[in-house]
Amino acid sequence: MAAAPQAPKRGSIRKTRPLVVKTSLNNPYVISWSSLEREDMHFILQTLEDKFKSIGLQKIEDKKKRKAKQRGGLVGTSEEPQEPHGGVRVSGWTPVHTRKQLAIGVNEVTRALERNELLLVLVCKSVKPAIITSHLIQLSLSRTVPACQVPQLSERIAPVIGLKCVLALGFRKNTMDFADEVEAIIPRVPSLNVPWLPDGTQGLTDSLETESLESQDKEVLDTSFDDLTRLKRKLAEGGQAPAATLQPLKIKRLVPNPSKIRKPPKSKNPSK
Amino acid sequence: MAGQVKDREAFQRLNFLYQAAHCVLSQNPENQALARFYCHTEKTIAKRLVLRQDPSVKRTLCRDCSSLLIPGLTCTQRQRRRKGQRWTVQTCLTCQRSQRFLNDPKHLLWGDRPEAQLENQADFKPSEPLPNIADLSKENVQTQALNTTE
Repeated sequence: MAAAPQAPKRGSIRKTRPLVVKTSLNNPYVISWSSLEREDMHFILQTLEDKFKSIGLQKIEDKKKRKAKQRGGLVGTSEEPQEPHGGVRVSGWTPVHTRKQLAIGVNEVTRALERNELLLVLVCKSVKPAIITSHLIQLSLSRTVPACQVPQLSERIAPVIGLKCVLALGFRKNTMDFADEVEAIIPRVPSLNVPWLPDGTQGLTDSLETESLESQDKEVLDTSFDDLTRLKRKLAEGGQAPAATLQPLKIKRLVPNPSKIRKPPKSKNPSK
Repeated sequence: MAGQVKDREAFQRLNFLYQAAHCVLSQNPENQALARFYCHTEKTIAKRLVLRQDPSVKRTLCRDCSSLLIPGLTCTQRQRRRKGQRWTVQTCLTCQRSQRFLNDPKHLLWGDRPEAQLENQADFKPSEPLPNIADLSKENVQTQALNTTE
């Protein structure tokens, strides 16, 4: 019998393997909500809370109906909420016309923004993960709709309306009941900043610049060759910076995940 | 930040193409074909040179038609609920391909964790390399065999 192979000695020297680093191209754009001041936050929440209470907008759900729906028992019933003898709605939104002036929920707000139907967008800050509402930044800015993230929006507004949570709230352009509130809130909303999207104000300046350039072109047509060189120099001296600035290169350097289960590398010649 | 990197020029090019696509679309939303061309070029370069891209970059490019996905312009984003789980569904308006992302508040990508960053690893320099688990198990077996024979 062959002798058992001895265990390697304790003091055996091993080559230290260099730390593996993964380099990856990071997103050059950082898109985030602008921070809302504490006073403005309290003002917005208080204004909305008072208004919803005064209007009495509430979603009332008939629990019996809900249970029956879950079981799949409702077959022949109409989808519209029925009114009993007293004329009070059993389920649904109490003033329907008021509900139609609002967009409640992320999907509804997104849909309304895509159709350019909103005046103002308010988003809850306690949304986790942030991907749920992050697209609303670009969407609202592209539609030039003021939007901001309000802390405790869901906690304060949802119980008043009779919902579990309100992650996004939009006010439609046809709003009559909330017109004064929207006008009061809009000046307090901080402007959003997306690096690659021009702001509304910037758009105005751009149009002015193009007008001036057009007038310059007309002048160029009238001028002689000698004057052209002078004009070129003038443009070169007083040339404005381009509208889009190139963001610096961002590279992420990561360490491989040690807990990741990796497959062993396949050998070219499979052992028989 | 991007100091000593192997393919710095290539990364620079990818960065430029990605930003050019955004710039072109923001100036005129009808320039979708040009933006798509830039993104396709970027994808091709990254594939050819085997360069990684952060998930935040990859998620803004359509995996099918290489369109730059901008909500409300080239894609739609909706929240869906299925099998008791909430998903963010992103649909490309050019090719109708949809991508789903699970809305799990506990989940965090490895790249976004602080311990994954190389900067945070600077202080951790092991004096001895960590032993391989497979080798350790073999050693244990061998020592046990020796003990039994004795």
